[in-house]
This record gives sequence, C-alpha cells and structure tokens, in this order.
Amino acid sequence: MNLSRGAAWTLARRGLDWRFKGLRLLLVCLVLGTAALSAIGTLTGAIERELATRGREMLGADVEFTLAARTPAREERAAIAALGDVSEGARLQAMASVPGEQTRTTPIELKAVDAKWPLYGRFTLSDGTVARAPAGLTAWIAPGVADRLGVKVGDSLKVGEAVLKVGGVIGSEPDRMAEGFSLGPTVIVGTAALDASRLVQPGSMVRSKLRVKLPPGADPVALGDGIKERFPLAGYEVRTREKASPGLDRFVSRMGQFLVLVALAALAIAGIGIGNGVNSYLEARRSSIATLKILGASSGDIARIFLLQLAAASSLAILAGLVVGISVTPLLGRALQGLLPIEPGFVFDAGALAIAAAYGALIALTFAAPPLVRARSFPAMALMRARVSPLAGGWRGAVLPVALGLGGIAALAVLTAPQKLLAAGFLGGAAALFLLLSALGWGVQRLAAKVPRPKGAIARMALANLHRPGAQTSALVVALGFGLSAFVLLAGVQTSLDGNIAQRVPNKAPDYFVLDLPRSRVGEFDAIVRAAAPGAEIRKVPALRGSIVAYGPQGAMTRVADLKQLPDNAWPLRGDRGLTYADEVPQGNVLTAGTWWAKDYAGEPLVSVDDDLGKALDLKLGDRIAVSILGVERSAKIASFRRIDWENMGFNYVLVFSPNAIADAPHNLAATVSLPEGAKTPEVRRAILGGLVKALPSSSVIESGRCWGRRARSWARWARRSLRRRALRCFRGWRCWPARSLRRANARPMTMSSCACWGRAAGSFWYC
Amino acid sequence: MAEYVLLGALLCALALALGSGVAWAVVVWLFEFDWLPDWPRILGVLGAGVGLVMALAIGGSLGLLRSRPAQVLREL
Repeated sequence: MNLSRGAAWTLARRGLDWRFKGLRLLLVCLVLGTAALSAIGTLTGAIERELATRGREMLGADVEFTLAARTPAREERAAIAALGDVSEGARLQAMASVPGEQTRTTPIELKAVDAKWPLYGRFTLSDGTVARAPAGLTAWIAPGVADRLGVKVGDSLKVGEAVLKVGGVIGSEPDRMAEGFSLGPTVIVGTAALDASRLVQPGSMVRSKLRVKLPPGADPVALGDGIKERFPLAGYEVRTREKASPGLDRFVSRMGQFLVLVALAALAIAGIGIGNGVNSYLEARRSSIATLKILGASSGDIARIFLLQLAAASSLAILAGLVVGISVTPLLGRALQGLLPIEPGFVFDAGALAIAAAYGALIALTFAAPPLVRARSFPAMALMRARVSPLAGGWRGAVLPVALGLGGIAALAVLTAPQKLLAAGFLGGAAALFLLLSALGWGVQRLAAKVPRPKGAIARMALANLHRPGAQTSALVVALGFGLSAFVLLAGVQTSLDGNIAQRVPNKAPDYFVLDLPRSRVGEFDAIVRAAAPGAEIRKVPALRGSIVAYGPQGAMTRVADLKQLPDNAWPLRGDRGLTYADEVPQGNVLTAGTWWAKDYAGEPLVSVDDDLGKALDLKLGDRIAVSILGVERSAKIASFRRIDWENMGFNYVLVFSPNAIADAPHNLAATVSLPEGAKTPEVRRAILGGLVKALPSSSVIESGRCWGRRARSWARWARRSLRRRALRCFRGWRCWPARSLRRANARPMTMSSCACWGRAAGSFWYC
Repeated sequence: MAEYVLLGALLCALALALGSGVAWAVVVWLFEFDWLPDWPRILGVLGAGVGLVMALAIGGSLGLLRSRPAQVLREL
C-alpha cells in the first residue's frame, strides 16, 4: 500500500515520543551545531553591516585624505576644501608627562582636531557630556592616560613643550575604530595646543588628515581619485566611507568564514553522532517497522513515516539552535564591544540563520540517510530476525542520498564563502582526514577480528566488541580521532607561537625605541644615555616617509597610480612607508645582487631594494625606483638587492637609499637603546627616561620592557590573530609565500618585538 | 569498557601523532617559526578532551549499567 501524506504523518506523529527518547543525541548535536553556526553568521553579518552602514561615522567623514610627514600645501588644501565641508587634523606619536615629574611619562597618540570635528558621529566624555574639539590648551585624555599618569580632570599634563589642562576623560570617540592601532592611549587636543607643543617640525612623523563631509549625492570614491590624480606626487592616502576600515573589514570577513568552517567541521563530527542516534532510534523501532511491513506498508511508506519523525525532531532542534544562536549574539557583542563595531542587543540576520538552518538540515538528513535506507530496504522477516541474525549490507542504497547531502553541504560552504578556495581546501582536508580515520577504524576492526582469541572471558568479550556486527569502532575512531587531533593541532600551534614569541622577542628587543629624534640633538641624546648606562648599545637611523610612485626600467617605468591591482606581494606599493639612507649595508641584511655604494658616494642617486619586493615587481639591477617624499618625486637607480632578516629586531627598510639621494629632505632619526644586563635597573631606567623626556620633549621614548610587562599577552593574542589571518590569505592564494607573508606582518614596523611593531602591523606604521 | 579504554588510548596516540604532525607543518612550513610546543599543555588539552568524552560516555551509559539483567532479558 502507499500511504497518503496525511496517513503517514498521523502514523509518524503517533510513533514519535515527544520526550524524544532515543533522539536526544540527534537533538543535542543539531542544537549545538546550529547554534554555533547561527551565532557566528549573525555576529559576522552584524559586524559587516555595521562596518558598511556606519562607515561614515567610523571614518568621521565621507572621504579622508591623509598625508605623511607634512601638512597639505595651499593648493591641495584649496582643492580638497572645494569638495565640501573640511575638518583638518593631525595624528602623531608623542610623550605625555606630569609637569615637573619626568619619570611619570607615557607614550600617547596625540590627535589634534579643529572646531569642526567630528563631522559625523558624536564625541562624548566619560561623564556623558557631548563635546567637540577642546579649546585652547585643554586636552581630552583617554582613561589609559589618566591611569598611567595618575592625573584627573583639572590636573596638568605636559605634551611636547605645551602644558595642557586635562578637561575631561574620553568616553566615546566616533572615529576611534578607523584610526587603527595606536601605540599609546589617545590625547585629543585642539590646533592651538598642537602648535604650542611644537611637536610638528620639519621631518617629524606627523600624519595630517583632511576629513571631508560631501554634499548629498557626491561620489566619495570618484572625488578621492580626482584629488589623487590631480596631485599624483602628494602621496595622499585616501579612504572613503565605504571602506572606512578595510583591514578590519577583511579581518572580520575572513575570521567569520574561518569560524563557520570550524563550526561546520564540528557539526560534521556531530553528524556521526546523529547517524548513530538515528540508527539506535530505528533499531529500537525495528519491531514496529516489521509489523508495518507485514501489514502491507511499502518501503516508501516506512521511509516516509520515519523521515517525517526525524524531520520533525530535526526541525525543532534546528529551531532551538537558531534561538540559542540569536540569544548568545548580544553576549558575544558585549564581549567584543570596543574591539569591533557591533551594536548591543539582539540581531536577526535572516540570511545567516537560513544558512545555519540549511547546514543543520543537510547534516541531519545526510547522516540519518544510511539507517533510514537500511530500515526501508530490509524485508519484515529479516527485521524480525535481526536480534539473532544481525542485518548486514544495505549501504549501497545510502550512497546516493549521502553523496547528495555531502555535495550539498560542500556546495553551500563553498558558495557562501567569500574565499572559495579556502573553503574548498578546508573541506578537502577534512574529507581526507575523515577517510584516513575511516580506514584506520576499518583496520582496527579487521585486526581485532584476526587477533587470536584471548583466554580470559573479559578480554575475549572486549576484543569481540571491537569487531562484532554492529560494533561502533569505525564511528568512534573517526569522531574521537578527528576531535582529539584537532585539539592537539590547535594546542601545538598555539603553544609553539607562544614559545617563539617568548623565546625570541624579549631576548632581541631593545630596551627603548626613540622616535622623532632631531638630528641636531643626537649628541645630547647620546650623552644622556651614556651617562646613565655607559655600556648601552645605541643604534640610530634616518627616518623618512614616502611612497613609491614608479618603478621599472628607465624610460619605461610603471606608475603605481596606473596599476588597477597591485602585483602579489608588492605590499610596499600601498600607501606611504619608511625610507632611510645608509653608508653601509644595514645590520641583519645580506646583499643578494649588486654592490653597495662607497662611503661618501656622490654620483647618481642609488637605492638598495628588498629582494622579495624586487621579485614581486620583476625589478633588475639598473632599473629605477621613484619615490615621493614630502610631495617631491625622487628617482634612484637600483644598485643592489638585499635579503632582510625581518626578525632581527632592528630597523628594517624595504628601500635604503644612498645618502645623496634623500638626505637633504627634512627628517628626524629613530633610535634604539639596548642596555647591558647589569644596567637594567629601575635607577638607570628612570635616569634615561627622565633625562630624555626632559631634554627631548618632541621625541617619543617607548620603553619596550615596560610594554612587555603590560602587553606581552595582548601581543601574543594579536600575533596569533595575525598569523591566522595570514594563514587564511595563504590558503586563499594556494601559492603563498608564507614566510614572506608573515615577515611582512612583522616587518612593516622596524622590529618584530616592539610594541610599535606588533601593534602597528595591524594598521600602518611609520617605520617600514 | 576495557576495549574502549584501549581504543581511547590508541586514538590519543594517533591524535598526538596526527595533530602534532600537522601542527609542526603549519608552524615550520607555513609560518617558518621554530617548533617549540609546550608538551605538558598539549597533553593537558588532550587529557581534558579524553576526560570529557569519558565523562559523557559514562554518564550516558549509567542507565544501561544500572539496569537489571532480568529486566533486559525480558525485553528481548
């Protein structure tokens, strides 16, 4: 007979135990898996939407123009002002101290804003007051400054040469997220205070920002590109509201994708549990199935009845999983608030929930198919005899539904992934591991069957349990093997990274990094350090900023502005970066081709290029590289290529020029100080820090040891995140240059170890 | 349970070999870092994983272990 749908549903409903006895494993697996997938999808979607819709508030503008190491020229300023309402500001690294107490200092991120700031969003102080730019010599300070210096509202704070009055503690800064990582807590001042600090000098590492509020309907991308085309040598970095924080955008998307795949792998393992649960459930109903068959139910009827039961249970489990996923999102959002842009409260993302539900349904159906197919295919008598004569075979009928189900899961995972190759690679790896473990399970069963029977009854039964018909050995090996291997893999990678960071960084990191050291004050700097620690090792390098504007053979140079897409691994072409000049091959660098220029070389300007960049751009000796420094294009001939040891904790630069090429541009120095072991005492540190802060108010002194104590854990966390991100990038490319990719992360900054390095790699750093 | 303890031990060894092997490849080849695992932590994670599985398995089997033989035989 062929039961009608109604009759099948009536029988299914009657047979379904609404306490779900026998199906609880299926329910638990599905609820957990769907909850994880829906929470990840909902959260990722919510963050991405926030990034997309709040781009204007996050950027504080429709379009933002940033210039390194100089303020905009009059013509540039006028052109940008013609676009709309402009708010001008600056951002730079500085030191804040309590006046009269040179040892109470902290590195800060000084943010100067004008009266129009913020163009979008709301700036509030910690007491809830809505505020704008501080007037005169008043400063808004981040809570971190108040904590580190022990200052409160009304107290004084010295920044550069200005003594500022703390007017309030920052509560909410609308454009904080788009500013990226900062080396220290923020201090917001007005333009008058910035002028009074005298920190902006020729050569100082200031980033000037022009934020523009465009009239309605204006296209920020087109207008931004227009300014870049009009001033190709100016070196403007343009960001628009659509991509207020491109790095964060990428990170969220990739991390979301990665987490979805991990949750999917977990759900696939749970699928084995689902299959076993369904098997047990149908096993317990074998008599009912046999009776129905004897009464005339066809195999199709049996399948329909139990499929309806499983579908009902799975639907409830998936629904519960979705509810749990939606419910935990506000908790996750609260935990991530401040780190990622996410509005508190419940988020309902229909797309993410539909995908999670689809995954849940596919997993349930795929893994429930084999026992269902077996149940429908055996005749009634075979089912009746099953307890004494276990059912064998019956797997062929399950091949098609299982293959379709797995294909559906793979298709869904790949089609919904922003990085399809990564998703496919992940699924391929998981499938390979599944196959390996399945083979092992099968091998264990075969081995157990062939091993001579032990004499002891318990040992004999134990051995038989591994290979008897219906033994769960294979399923156990696959599920447990997969799960435990994943645990070991994650623990191994994480502890190794921790070990590398703990072993390498503190040993190699200098004790101090000094930024914006005026060339005219080098003698004073040396004297202060040497007086406190005579054996200290001091390294100084010229520090300039500039952007690569063209490269290639003379007469046929490629203009970077004309490139639609940057070549792979040509990251130095993006934005401005650190430039330097030197008489000798920098420490930790090895020439791979060409020769170094002689001391006091005075011929044609030369440049030595990072070997990796040379390969990425297909550069040859004798080719040229043109850079824009402070809006002036300078071209140099490639004299050599260098292999850079990015992990040498020193100053590393992709481009090192001969002194005659760029030394005439206004610039300061950067320096590191490494103390001898015996000099790493609080007294010596106080003398150095106090002396430098007092004598060189415009320089920033970063005490890496102190940073280590405070930040080691957060660096390690950041490093792991960074590595994961790069791993994803590597998987995406299938032809990654992992070391290069990683070194790039480490190397943008001057060192792998400093606060500056790790932190700034996430955003953009001066020295790279 | 003896067979499952044996199987669990075998899977622990397998997971340790397989997981460490892949982790080594990731750390050394992909990231080009030194392989510096913290074995006590790894073994701790593995032990915790196995412990969790055992706890859940024993918890799930309590009903079966508590059931009286006669009752089970009657239900056959």
